[in-house]
Amino acid sequence: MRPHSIILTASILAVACNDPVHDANVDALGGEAPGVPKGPYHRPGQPCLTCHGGEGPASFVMSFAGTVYAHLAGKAPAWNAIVRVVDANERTYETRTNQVGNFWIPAGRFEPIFPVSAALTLTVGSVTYPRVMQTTMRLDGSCNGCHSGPPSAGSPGQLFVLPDSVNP
Amino acid sequence: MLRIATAKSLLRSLAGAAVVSAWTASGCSDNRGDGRGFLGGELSVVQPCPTTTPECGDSGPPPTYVNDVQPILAAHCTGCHGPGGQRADIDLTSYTSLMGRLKGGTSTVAQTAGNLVVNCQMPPPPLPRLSPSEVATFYCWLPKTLEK
Repeated sequence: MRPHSIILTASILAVACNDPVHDANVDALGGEAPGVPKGPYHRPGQPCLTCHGGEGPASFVMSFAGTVYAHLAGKAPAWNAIVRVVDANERTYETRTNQVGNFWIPAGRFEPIFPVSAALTLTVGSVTYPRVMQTTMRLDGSCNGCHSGPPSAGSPGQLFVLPDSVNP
Repeated sequence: MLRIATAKSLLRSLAGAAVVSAWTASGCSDNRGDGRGFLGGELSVVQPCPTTTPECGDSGPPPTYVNDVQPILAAHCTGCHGPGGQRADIDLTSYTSLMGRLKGGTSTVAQTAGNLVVNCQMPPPPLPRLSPSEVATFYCWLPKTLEK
């Protein structure tokens, strides 16, 4: 095979390997917020697994991730909320949210068997406030993929944990 | 000029590498709050729900609402079954509201409440379960209270 044929074949294969739908989803996320570097605090509220789901471009792969806000409306984060997920094999993974409300489970730590149920709890003062997901996740662990923005026909609303009357 | 540009480029690369390594490391650490945003994680297996119903013997003092039941409700129940909670319509924040719920319904209501707790359906998974002693306290308190 001639060198230029090899290059042409490799180029075709490379192009064929790209998923235009995935690429469009990544592009739709837009750029980073000014002053926020890539890392644990970036892109709160965005569907983490679009980039961190194994298809790239992020190399750090997560099995679950999302952002928890204090209330259904507003952007105050729920810091240090406990996120618990239980998979079909009754394995529980528990993690916490960081200062911007982001949480994630590294894929190497926990690969759940769907369906998965989830609950959030946040302790304010001496009171622990729980919020339990009323349905199960059956597709993937990209919480913000469904829980984005205010409640609408396409979203149950952002993840939140506190009643409106309680501030974090 | 070229050297300055090269040095700046090198610094940028190092800074980028630091961010990437911090990000990767943060996903690999397992402590509670490592200063880089990852607050740890823990994998466990849910224990099977006990299949035996608690025995309510006559030995020892019977559980009371104030000393025994109310603390359990406050720790496990009133977050949802209280003001602003997901099931605030079933108010368990006071003796009056709890008894109104239990006695206002049929005896099936109390039986169902007891069974939901005994069968580990309440608090709903994946919220933490009541301990066996807490289950026994609540379960054994119900019939004695409803007899009054």
